[in-house]
Amino acid sequence: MEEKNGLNRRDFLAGLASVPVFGLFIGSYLSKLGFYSDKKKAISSEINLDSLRQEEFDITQTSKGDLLRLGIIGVGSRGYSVLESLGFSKTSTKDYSHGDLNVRLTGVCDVYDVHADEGTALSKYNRFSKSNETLPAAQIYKNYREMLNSNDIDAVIITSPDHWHAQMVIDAVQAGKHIYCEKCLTRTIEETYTLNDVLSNANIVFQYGHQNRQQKSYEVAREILQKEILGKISVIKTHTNRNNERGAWLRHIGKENTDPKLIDWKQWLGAAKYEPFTPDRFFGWQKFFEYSGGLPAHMFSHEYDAINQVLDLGIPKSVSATGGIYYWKDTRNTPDVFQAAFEYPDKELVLTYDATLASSSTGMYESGAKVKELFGSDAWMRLGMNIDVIVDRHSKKYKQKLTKGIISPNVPFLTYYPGSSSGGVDAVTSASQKLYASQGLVYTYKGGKKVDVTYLHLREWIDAIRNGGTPSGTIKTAFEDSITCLMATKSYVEKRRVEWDPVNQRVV
Amino acid sequence: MTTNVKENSTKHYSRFQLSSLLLLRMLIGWHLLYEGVVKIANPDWSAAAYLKDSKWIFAGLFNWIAAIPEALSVVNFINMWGLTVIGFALIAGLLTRYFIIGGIVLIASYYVAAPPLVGLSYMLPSEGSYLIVNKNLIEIAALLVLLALPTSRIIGLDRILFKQKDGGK
Repeated sequence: MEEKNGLNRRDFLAGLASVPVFGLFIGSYLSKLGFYSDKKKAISSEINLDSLRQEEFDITQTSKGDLLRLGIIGVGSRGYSVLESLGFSKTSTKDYSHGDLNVRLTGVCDVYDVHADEGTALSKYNRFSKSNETLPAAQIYKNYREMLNSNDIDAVIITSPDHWHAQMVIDAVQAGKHIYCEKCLTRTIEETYTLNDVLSNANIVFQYGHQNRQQKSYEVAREILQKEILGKISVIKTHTNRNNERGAWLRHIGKENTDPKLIDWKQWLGAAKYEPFTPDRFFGWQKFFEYSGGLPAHMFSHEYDAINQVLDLGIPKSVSATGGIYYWKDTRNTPDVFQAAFEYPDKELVLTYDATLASSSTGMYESGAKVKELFGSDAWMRLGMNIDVIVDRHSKKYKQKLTKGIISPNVPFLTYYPGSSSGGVDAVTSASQKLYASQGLVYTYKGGKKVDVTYLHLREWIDAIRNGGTPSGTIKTAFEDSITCLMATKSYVEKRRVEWDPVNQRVV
Repeated sequence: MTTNVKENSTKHYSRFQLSSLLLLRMLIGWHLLYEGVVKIANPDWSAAAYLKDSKWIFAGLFNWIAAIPEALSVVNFINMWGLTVIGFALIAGLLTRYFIIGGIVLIASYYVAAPPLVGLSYMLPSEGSYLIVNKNLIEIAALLVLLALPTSRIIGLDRILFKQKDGGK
């Protein structure tokens, strides 16, 4: 059958011969989709995934209200970073697409002239503000009390060393200024009792500077745990692993001008026992019990607050700690290797913390932070910026699903990876995909947005000052955090098990 | 030898030769089509991980692409749709000469981004053990074979397309 253009039936048959291959392809593809969808449904029947999906918070809106005038005490590395999160930055390398906080930095106090000057220099620019105008420079105060008594300040950010926190908070309350105070709340347990009383009766907005209160993964983890997906949790492990000078608080060498003329050493010491000035003590105060609670206050505090956030653990019944100065044999008197067990007999679980400043090589990391592990009778959770829930091979609850191969101990059956299109929460589809994601390689967040948690935490405080409400870093969480961390310090120093008396609210 | 002679000569494949070449064309087509479709179906898919993990002399270029959102989205688009269209064309036998060249370029870029050379190691896991030669390189070679020994004018849409063009000669 010859056609006009020379094509015959044979040509058409040969031309379209691969159509069945497409049929086979589509059939196989649909059957694969169905397989995963059935698997997901089987898991979802146990866990209501949809209720876990998180709405993205719109942070592009400006914080509305009168201009808020801020003062800062202490522009060290943390103070500097907090200022940057508020938008005060010389460069616009950070993501400054979030909403304007409508704040000015009007006061800077630092006993070290170099840092005071740096703070003032930053106050001239706010990257959230769309205009390019230079702002008036913040006034430098040589003494923080002068700044607190000034009428040019509405609220104060306390990013000084820990041995000053208690006194500064008390003075700020008396001056009627709102407070954002960095962790650890206090240096001593006695100070914690005092601050709890002072803050509970104060008429100001207080925010405890644990910015990880804003981390979405903790909110999701809390919901997952409320659904009792892990079964009965008996052990929670938290960790700190570092292995460099910076991590061991040797930060000034070759970087800072250590000329004592630039430092008001006597004022910096405050009520602490007199010691002659050394750059090591001033820039590396975290290494000394005279100025801080050591590793528990600096590092465990983050871990504890995260777990307290997801499980409402509160203060443990007892703490036993051990450790020593085994690697960084310099002038420090706080341990560089530390282990502690926190017992919660009423909750029938133990929280553990292990820390070393001499190894960064073990465990599973996410952006440098070691993930927390929560062990339940039916599943365990890796909790960091992401969440993986993995079934226990001997789980009774999931026995049937394990036998049927719907879930496996080798692959997480529930995950949270922020930035992915499903709103983050998902039942696993591909093991390799999750492996890439856990290495922080896969998900470029939608629109390239990664949210700065410190910004969110400051914003929550600022919004509460303007509109009322209580920010998430409450006095209660600050009290529980400080007491728990300092119980570990006390146990280490006194080489004994330290107990909490819940009736009298005292450490014994 | 002119192009026409070349094309005509393909009609002299033995049944066994033609079947083998067709099987190879279908298998590669299927593989590329599925790789493309899977990427399109996953809204979170991005080449970023692969690009960031790049080693060897082009690592700078691939890392740069991964870091620039606009460049990355172009590369993602080319990967998702390029693989899908090339896979489809190979199975259908449509303009295979051109799509095979496109496929070679695409797969060669995967190879040079992460070649299994001595001393290079990658974060992303590999499912086998390779030294210089990996499956990407073999697939490139297989595509070269399909380019040298075309079949789409015997079995494929090209038979209809080109016969029509040539006026049934």
